[in-house]
Amino acid sequence: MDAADRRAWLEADRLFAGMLDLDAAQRAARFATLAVPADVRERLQRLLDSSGRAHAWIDAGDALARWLPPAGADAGSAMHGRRFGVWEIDGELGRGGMAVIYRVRRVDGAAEQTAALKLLTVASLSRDGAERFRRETDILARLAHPHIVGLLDAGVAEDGTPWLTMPLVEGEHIDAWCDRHALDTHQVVMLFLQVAAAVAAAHRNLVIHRDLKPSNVLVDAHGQVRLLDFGIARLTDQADAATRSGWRALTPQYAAPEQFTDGSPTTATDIHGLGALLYRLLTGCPPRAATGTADVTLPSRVAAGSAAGARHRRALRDDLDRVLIKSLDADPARRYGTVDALIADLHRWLAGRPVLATAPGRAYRVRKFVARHRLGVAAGVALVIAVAAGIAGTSWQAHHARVQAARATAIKDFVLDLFAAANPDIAQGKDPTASTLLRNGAARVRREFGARPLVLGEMLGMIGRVQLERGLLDDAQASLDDALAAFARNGVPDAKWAVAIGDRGMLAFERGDPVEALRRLHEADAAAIAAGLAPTRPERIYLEVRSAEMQVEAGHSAEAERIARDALQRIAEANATDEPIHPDALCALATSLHHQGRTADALGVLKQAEAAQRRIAPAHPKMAVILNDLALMLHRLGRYDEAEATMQRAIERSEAIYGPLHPQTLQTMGNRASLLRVWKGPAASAREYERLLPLVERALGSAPHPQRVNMLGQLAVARDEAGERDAALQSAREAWAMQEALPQEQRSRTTWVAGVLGVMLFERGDPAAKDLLQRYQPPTCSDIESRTPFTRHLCITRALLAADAGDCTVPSAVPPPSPEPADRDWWLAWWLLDARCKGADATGADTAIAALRADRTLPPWLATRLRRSASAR
Amino acid sequence: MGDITELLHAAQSGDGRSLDAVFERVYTTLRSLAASRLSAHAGEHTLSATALVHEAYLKLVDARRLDLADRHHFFACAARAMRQILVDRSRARGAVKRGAGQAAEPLAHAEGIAADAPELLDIDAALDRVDAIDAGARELIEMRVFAGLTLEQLAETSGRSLRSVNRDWQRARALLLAQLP
Repeated sequence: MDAADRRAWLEADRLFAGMLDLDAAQRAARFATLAVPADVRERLQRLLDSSGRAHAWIDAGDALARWLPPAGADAGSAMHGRRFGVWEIDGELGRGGMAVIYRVRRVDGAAEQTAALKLLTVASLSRDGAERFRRETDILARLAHPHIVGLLDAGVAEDGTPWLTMPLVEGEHIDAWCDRHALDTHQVVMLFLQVAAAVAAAHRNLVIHRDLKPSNVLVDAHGQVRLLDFGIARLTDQADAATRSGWRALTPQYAAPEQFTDGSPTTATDIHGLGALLYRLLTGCPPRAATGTADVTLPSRVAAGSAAGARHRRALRDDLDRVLIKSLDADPARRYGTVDALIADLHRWLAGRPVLATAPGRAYRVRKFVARHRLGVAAGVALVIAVAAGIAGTSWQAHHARVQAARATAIKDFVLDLFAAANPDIAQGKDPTASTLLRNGAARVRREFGARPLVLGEMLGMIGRVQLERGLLDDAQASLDDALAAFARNGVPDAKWAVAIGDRGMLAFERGDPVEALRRLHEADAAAIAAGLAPTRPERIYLEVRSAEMQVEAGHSAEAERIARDALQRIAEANATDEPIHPDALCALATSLHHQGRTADALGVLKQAEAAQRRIAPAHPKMAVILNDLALMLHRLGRYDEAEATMQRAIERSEAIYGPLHPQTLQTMGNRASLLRVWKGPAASAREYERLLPLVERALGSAPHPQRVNMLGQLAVARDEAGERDAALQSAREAWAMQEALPQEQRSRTTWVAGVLGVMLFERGDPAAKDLLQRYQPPTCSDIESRTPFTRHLCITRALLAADAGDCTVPSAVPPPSPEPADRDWWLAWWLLDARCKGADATGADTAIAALRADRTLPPWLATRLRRSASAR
Repeated sequence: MGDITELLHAAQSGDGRSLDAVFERVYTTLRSLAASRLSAHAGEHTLSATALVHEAYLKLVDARRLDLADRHHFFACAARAMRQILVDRSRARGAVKRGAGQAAEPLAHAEGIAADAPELLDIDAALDRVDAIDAGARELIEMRVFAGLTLEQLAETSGRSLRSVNRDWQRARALLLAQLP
């Protein structure tokens, strides 16, 4: 190949890469308009041609088998006679890219039994493939359904290779069976409904198959469907980083488009798989070319051209076309919302009634339904994984395999029973709330694992974490405290113990006590070290990032920055930049910078955090937090429009994830209310606080809480600025009373409410003002024209009182040429103070007073001082 | 010759000779595995190149001690070795005819696709041409076709997203098919 040839190929390849995301028609259009040399054009044409055609030898997982001669009989195989658990290998049944399947006999003297044993030879390829394989088989073992080939047994061989056994099913692939029996359309649909029912049952158990295709569906001698290969089906969505990798092989002709783009598999993926299967049965061809393109040819048109499909053409054209096209929509949100909906439509077709597939105006509702449904599934699934992952993790490391296996089984049963309650049939279409599930779960754990402190600690620790994340603080405290007691009873240092200590600290923070949080986190890290965890272990990094966050909350921003940067370093060392902890660490760093006044730097870091979060898990709750912080920083930098739009997104995200009463949602709303003062004026801000306060009380309880103190104080200020003076005073008194009722260690961040009430009392001539104003000192009292009105008034008031006591210090300021009406008295007071401290030379006082007074009656506090000033003159 | 796990570690830290040694070891193991399977009495089972590679993997490597980059190296080597073995066999036998002895279908057989498979030696030559254009594309095809790695596994061992690996695969695939007669 000469250089010119190579250059032409490279250029064609580059152009081809730019066309990968286009469908066939768009590619043709683009190609027609390209102005490139003939040699490049000709090569690009060849690339396009070859990409549009399927080639079994290269697209099948195990292509090269066809170039090899038959292998020796299994008598020669080293595997013959080998034992896996109670099973002994008899012979080989088949091989594929991911697995070998053997015929095995049960040899433990129990009932005579033959089964198929599957060895996942490459499971060990992925970092924790074996672990994952095991926990999935554990849970899937319970998928008992007449049309699902379940698991008999599973285990791990001495060399670490995981295996599983399934009943040996004698049958024929469903496509071949349909073709051989020349089924009519009704019969095909009836048979297909058996498959759909099996998939629906799996979905009710939160299991997604992901790889529905003819070779995974057998029909036995009695015409009964058996759905295969749930062995490595997914239980998860992309929110769970631990299971992102190690996906199974896709079968391109049947895979849904989102499976090629890292989209998380959902029940919608299986709707597509079912549609693809029915498409094949009715048309004789799979619905898509090998490349996972978006377009699906109308089934009736395909059927017309194929021997297998011709007899179904009429039925397709009548209605089934629409059922299939809807099931196979490239956009998962536009497919049927559930398998049951697909089944119902097929029953309508069987009964001769019109199908709903294309009823106009439904797309929006379906989309909404799917969105809601997904969230429910995701939340439930994440919990299964959270609980099961912990089990697999510890049992894997343990040495006493048998003990561990018994324990894992007990926990597995527990998890499954717990989620049996999530079955929508039982709950009549409504999922039980997560808080109910979790509380039931915790109660059962206490009851059933009381004698096994380590299991008890782990399970309660995990449940407590989830409760904490969902804002169920009382439940979380009960779970975490019991978890800690159980770990202590067990007495052996353990990574999960350390994490539970840290989470207990985070709970203290949620209750308003960052110092206690820091103390616990410190203790947790010591426990993690005692358990022998290196600094790059996920548990240590988790605790370190939480520490950075708490240092910020405790007001130690520089220390927070140091810790956050260290955590980021560890994350890089541990190659964990695609883990959810990474955006957390970036956020902690951003907040620490922000609190040191480096808001522009902070904004840059936070944008990195947003990008990372978007890459890793855009639907994660953390996204709402990041958006909230972004909005605050944009506001701080004066970019109000961006800030308002971002804050709105933050609230929507937060409400969708947490619900309206979660502390996180309320805090975001509180932030927005505060910013409304700038965006829409103080009255708008006051109305928003009034709306939020009852919600906060419902969420946090009626006991004093720093967040409520904060909101009451903000309300007082907003009302005052809006001219609602009496209401303002009332809020300020409430805020102060609650502040005084807070435990000492929770007061540090809301002492400013003393200043708010102090200023208001001062204006009213109340002697109590003096004491209050001494309790809070604003961080700075210079350039007060650029501070918020509240700070300005506070600074001036404090200076007036100090001057009365003989200490004359004037806050530096450049008074605006024409102050706001509400601010005029304060500027007059500042002017008087300035004059007084400069030696009572009141030259020009009359002019200033005339300009600022604007013929209004002065408030008594100012009038008194004016008189005093005049008499001095 | 050192333990292959050690050799992979060494190769990863830039020792080129270690990588050659890995290739040697993998090649030898694969060839002997293939030979023992092929020399046995005629049976009904199809030998799978992919299964051989994975068997070699289990035989040679202590998976628990390998990190992802090591695994990537291993499978890249194994794929290249497998290609070599198959091509050598074809040459020695005067080209094995396509489709010879397809008794049992592979588990992951592809339904509904009717395209003739080219001769192995044609593929080998086409791969050399792909290598001249883009060596990365050649390696990707080898790992996919001769070691049977799925796109998901490739994404994992190379530490990239499935989406970007899939895009590279589409390009490499088209490039290879376009080089075939």
